[in-house]
Amino acid sequence: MNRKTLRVALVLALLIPVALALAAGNKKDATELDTLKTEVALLKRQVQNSQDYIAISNLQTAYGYYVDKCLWDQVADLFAKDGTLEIGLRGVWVGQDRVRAYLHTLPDLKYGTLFNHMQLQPKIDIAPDGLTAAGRWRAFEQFGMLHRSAQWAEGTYENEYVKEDGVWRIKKLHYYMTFYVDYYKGWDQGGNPAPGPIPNFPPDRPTTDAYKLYPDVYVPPFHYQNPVTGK
Amino acid sequence: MRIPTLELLFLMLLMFPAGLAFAADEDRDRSDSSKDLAAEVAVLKAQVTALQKQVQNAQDYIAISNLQTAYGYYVDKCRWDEAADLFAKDSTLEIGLRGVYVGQDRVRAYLHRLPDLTYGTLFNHMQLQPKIDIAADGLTAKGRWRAIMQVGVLNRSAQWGEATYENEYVKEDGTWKIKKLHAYFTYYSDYYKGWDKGGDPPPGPIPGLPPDQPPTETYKLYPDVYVPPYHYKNPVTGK
Repeated sequence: MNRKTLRVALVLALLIPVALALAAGNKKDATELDTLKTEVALLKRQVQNSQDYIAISNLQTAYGYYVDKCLWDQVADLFAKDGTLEIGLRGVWVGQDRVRAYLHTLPDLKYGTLFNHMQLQPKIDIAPDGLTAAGRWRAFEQFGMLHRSAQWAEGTYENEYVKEDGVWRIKKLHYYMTFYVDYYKGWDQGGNPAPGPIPNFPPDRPTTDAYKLYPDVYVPPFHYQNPVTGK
Repeated sequence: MRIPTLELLFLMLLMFPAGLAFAADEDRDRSDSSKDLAAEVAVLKAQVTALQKQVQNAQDYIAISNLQTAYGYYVDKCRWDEAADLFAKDSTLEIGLRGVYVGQDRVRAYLHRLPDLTYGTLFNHMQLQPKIDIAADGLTAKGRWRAIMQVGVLNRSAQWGEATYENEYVKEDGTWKIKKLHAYFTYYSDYYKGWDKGGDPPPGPIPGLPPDQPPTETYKLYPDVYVPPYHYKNPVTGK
């Protein structure tokens, strides 16, 4: 037997037990690390979902506080560049610039103006990819002009949101009015007609669904399935 | 060839214990350098377990809030089967002073006695102001909510109502359901009279559909005053 063969044999005899010992230890650590990685990946998704819910809720409530006070540029800034807006039966305005122009046709906040739009009852669902979401909300509204009019209104939003550059924005705002009534008449005398077209400012698209306000009844489509049955 | 082979085997046998000893040494070194790693893995595991509980709590809050708001949107539009589907099989429903209906089938029967969505009907039940607390085991929860109600029938009546809910929820097969819905009316008043003239009586018994249990508590609506029991301690003092 030559010296070389002998050396190889000696090294092998030395290394086999070492390799076995190392392999056993590494395998255990590797399994635990894999489990942790899987768990952390799931946690990241769930945490992101919770954070997105909060961000979208804050986005919509912030919208309401700006609308109350007729801060139209602040409102328009909440929309995505390709965002759309449809309120009542006025048709659809497409793109942030047109949304901004529409909003600026609404009242200014001056003495004698009440323009409350309470944003209530969120039902928010975020898409699995975390980049889009849909929300059903309602508004309860109190409108007034000193010595001229006082009105109640209520309606349902079916809105869509999009996350762009890490920030949630309004992608679609669609408000279906349920009733619009004179304060002194209440809701058993038929209600007022919905706010009409804006003179010299036609929408980009006609109304999506034609429906009538109270005393007619209408169920705005739900973006979600029944949360228990999934149907 | 025989002698060199024997020589080799002999040498390997000699060296094997040396290798084992070296391996043990190596293992000790490794465990020195990887003792830190093992400790870090243990710390991470504990942190992940705590995070899982906290994240689940946040997800449960969202699911329960979405459940109760979905309930309200179905009630508004008189979608009674959709509303009943949100209840657990062994759930209960108690609204105002009408007594307790026990089990999802009876809840469904009760709901179907409420109005249909026909021309001239307004049946708004806004679900507001959640105070939701989830049990430590993450399987049950309680929620205090309120409803502002706008109820009307064309050319006949228009009413305001307001109520407090003290509800319970249960998670079954990973899905939150309503386990107990209990609405305490605060006031119920004619739109034209407002709430300073004594209010209307609460909705009375349903003909032909007596409750399974009498009302849990007897109380009177406005102008009487009543404090529905709270499911929670003061969130600051814990008392």
